[in-house]
Amino acid sequence: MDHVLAERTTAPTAPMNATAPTAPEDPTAPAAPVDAEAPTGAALASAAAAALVLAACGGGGGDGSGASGGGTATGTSPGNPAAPPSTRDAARFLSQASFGPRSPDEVEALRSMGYERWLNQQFDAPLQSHVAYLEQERSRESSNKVRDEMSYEALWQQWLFGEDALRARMSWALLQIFVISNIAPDLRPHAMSSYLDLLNRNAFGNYRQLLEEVTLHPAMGYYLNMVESEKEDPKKGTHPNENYAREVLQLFSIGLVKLGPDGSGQFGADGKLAPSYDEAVVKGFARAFSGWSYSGSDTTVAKNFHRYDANNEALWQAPMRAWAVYHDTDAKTLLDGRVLPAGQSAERDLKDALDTIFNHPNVGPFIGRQLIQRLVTSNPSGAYVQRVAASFNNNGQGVRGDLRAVLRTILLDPEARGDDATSRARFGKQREPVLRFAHFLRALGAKSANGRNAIHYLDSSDDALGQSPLLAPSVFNFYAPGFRPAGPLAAAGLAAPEFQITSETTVVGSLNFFAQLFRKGTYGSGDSRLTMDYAPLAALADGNGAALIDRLDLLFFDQQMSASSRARFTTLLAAMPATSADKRLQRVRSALTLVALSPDHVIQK
Amino acid sequence: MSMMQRRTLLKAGALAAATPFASMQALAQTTGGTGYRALVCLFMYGGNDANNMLVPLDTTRYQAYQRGRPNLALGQNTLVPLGSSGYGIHPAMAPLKPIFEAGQAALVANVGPLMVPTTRAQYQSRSVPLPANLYSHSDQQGAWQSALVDAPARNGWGGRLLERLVDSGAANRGYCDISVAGGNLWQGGDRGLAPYRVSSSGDFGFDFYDPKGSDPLSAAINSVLGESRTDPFEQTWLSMMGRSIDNQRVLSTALQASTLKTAFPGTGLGRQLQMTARLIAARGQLAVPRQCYFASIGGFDTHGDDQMQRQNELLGEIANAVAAFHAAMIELGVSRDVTLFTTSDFGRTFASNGQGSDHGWGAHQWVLGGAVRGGRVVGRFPELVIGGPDDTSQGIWIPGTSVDQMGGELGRWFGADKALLDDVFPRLTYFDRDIGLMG
Repeated sequence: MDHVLAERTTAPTAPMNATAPTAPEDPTAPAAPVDAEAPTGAALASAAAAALVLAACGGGGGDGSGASGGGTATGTSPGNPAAPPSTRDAARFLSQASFGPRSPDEVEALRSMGYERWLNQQFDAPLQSHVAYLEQERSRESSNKVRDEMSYEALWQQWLFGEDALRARMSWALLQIFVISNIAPDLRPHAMSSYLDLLNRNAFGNYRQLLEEVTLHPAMGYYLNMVESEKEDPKKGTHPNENYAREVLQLFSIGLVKLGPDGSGQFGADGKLAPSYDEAVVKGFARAFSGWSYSGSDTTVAKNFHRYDANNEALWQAPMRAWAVYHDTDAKTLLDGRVLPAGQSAERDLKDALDTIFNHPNVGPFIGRQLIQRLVTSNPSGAYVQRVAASFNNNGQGVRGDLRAVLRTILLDPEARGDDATSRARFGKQREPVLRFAHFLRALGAKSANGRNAIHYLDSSDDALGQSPLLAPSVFNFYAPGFRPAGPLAAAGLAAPEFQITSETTVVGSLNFFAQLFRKGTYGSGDSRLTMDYAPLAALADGNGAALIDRLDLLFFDQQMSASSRARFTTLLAAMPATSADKRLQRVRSALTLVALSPDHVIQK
Repeated sequence: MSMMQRRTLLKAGALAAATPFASMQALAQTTGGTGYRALVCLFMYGGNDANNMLVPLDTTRYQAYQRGRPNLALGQNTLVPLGSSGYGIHPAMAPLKPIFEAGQAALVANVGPLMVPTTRAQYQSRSVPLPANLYSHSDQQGAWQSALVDAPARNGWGGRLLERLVDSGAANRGYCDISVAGGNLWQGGDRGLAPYRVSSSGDFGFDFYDPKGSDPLSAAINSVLGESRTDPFEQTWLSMMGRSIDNQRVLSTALQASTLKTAFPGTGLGRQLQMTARLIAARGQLAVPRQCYFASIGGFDTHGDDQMQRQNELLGEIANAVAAFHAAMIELGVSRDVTLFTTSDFGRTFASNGQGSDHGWGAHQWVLGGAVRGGRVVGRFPELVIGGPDDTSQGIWIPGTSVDQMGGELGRWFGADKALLDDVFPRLTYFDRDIGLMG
């Protein structure tokens, strides 16, 4: 991985293992989303009512640009899911649940199908194996070896060409919570790709199952050092490894601070935020998690615990196994005074420890809020968080942890839907750089000669996006959920996680990256080179460009382009007469570059 | 400050650059200090196991060290002795030995976040307040960088010092605060100051944009930059684009006149500190009297069995880059005006987890530059005994010196008086102010 680090000239603060980049404004915020200014239920209801009124007036809102968008904002009624959604809201939905609209046809198809049917279709969409991609690619190599880059390609195959966009978005959101990264220590391709398969398999499943599979996956075992963790050994002066125990609590499940059902931090008698656990609890979990190592050998033979062949690809795909001899069998104190009795097996301790985490009241609001942030908005109201947490706690059939129910609530919630998003002051999020890239490639019909891609390292902030899947700086992900950038967002008390990787350097790097993408019309080289098809846009690029602008508005602005942006596109195109096919292409390229830097594109509302 | 106001100031900066020394003098007079001074924070992300960075050499204490962490202990004969200090440093840090022995560098022993001076008994009985969320990466990075240990920190002591020492109307004032390593808390002020992030490659511009250009796309971009948006997300994006263009306009010009002969290693940190040195060489162009720089290196969270190899690589990268930086400061004639110090999330457990080590608390740090009272280990070295007077458990050392004490001395050298220090370091009043670090 050294070449990656070498390229990274303005390291996003913490370029290695389990090492948190400091959130410049709010390092502790993930645990304390205290949201005093969140709109109340009444305010929400009136916002929904306002949406209906606006819709009745013919749509529009925000900057008053909606009417010129070419769409028909026929009104989304959050209270009546059967009514067909507006074009605008359908486009918005695709930005939240997919990688953004690909075509007017896709938006129309969603409108006629309705969100419920679309969701059900996505829940049943075929699953493509990332490991299978490795095996397929290996057979093309003269060495018959797999490479790290193949794991990245497998992910982009799913993102660009898969029929399961919602699963891809959910797995990506989960990968940003249950982080593994190839930024040291190096992970094997099979470790990364089978972990992605795990996330895909559980994206619409149950959190408890997901948590167990993550805990026992060798990629996580290696990344956060649960693998080969031995019980305390007084003779050697050693104690069980605390890394996984600490981070599973702090990052994967409950966070540092006790939360109310709406995700707000709870205060103790001393007037300070009440911690969810203390150091003794971390040590208790570390002991409960002791005794696990790689599968594939006889677990009754002690020395096998530390004896394995890291080149064995099967070892990186199968759940870890327990060695009784290295498991701490003393009693352990876990969360909120729960005690694991002495004498339990490693398997039983693990199950009980994970059940204890799973049943903690923090999980619903803690995980739910982060999933909302990844898909819909950076600052959900407490009421929105509470509705999502309620779905987590009970899917309506008495089941806790059903991620399908959680997703449904997140995406169909009144706070997510509606035509008036541009006029909601606290609403919205920055589109992640990698999602913007995927969106452009999909909406511009990128294809390669061999049907594959060559998208690998995007993490350089100098000439790429400052963000690359499977290359997060640490287990603290690319950004903290509570990060507040200085300026108007901090002044308004608003979090904007994605802005933690938005700096003077990444803005330059990513915009140069997009400008070059549009200039060349391709990405990569050889038979895997992706070529975008500008023809549909060029066909609209005649005259004053209004048709082209309408199309860009639908595809890249969710039909919420501001009046000032529309005026700017009009001026740009007026200065570039469409006198030839080549000139029309130049119009398209310049307009796309302007899309990439437009604030109303970069910010998803 | 609105974008247009900032642009005006930058324009003023460009004018001031014509007579850099006159304007520096004038600024110096308004800020209570004289001449130029810079603080360079080198953050070791992940929690450096300082137990292996500085080791006592006398037989008794070395044996305690060796006994306490058998699978992690460095061989006694591999440690690099530091003069007559009685301590040796990690072999990979040998390039810093001559600087220490020339009196240009010191180590601060067992320093970390504290609310008040704290003993083992007080820790165990919780009879004194403790920093929030000890042992958590994000929180302890925040504690080190903010010196605000009892509340969620939203700004840092470097940024707060600058806001109080550099006149808010000074030309190019934003360039008193530069990070060559991305975002961080240390440089953020409580009055709105945010560091300019600068690529260590020196690539500053949009290659599709000419600020003075009249081509349609450049004109459109100028129109975007001239806009202000009511939506705070959109406005923040626009501001960041504007600041990127500031870099393109201000730094490209300033660095053209910056020459530096000293060679730097081609490592990530080497490039960061080389860019820092080049920017310091261009201080006359920027005409700011005080600067904070932030550099970083990650990978210190060594829970695993690769700790020995990993730390060897990382400490070597640091020593080589820092030694080159020190040579560059001598070349520029500013070694007395620039002080570099290291920090990290926390120290690590003295006891091993069988592979590497886990999250700790107090740790040793380097402070380097001509103004340092160097050649010494400052502060009290912990007793390397599990259950000893400095231990909480597993060899997690209770700091003997607080972040406020170390930062306070650096701040005093930077030009802050007592009242200003009390403002920037609200816990300093609970500690002895003079730890004998700076001359």
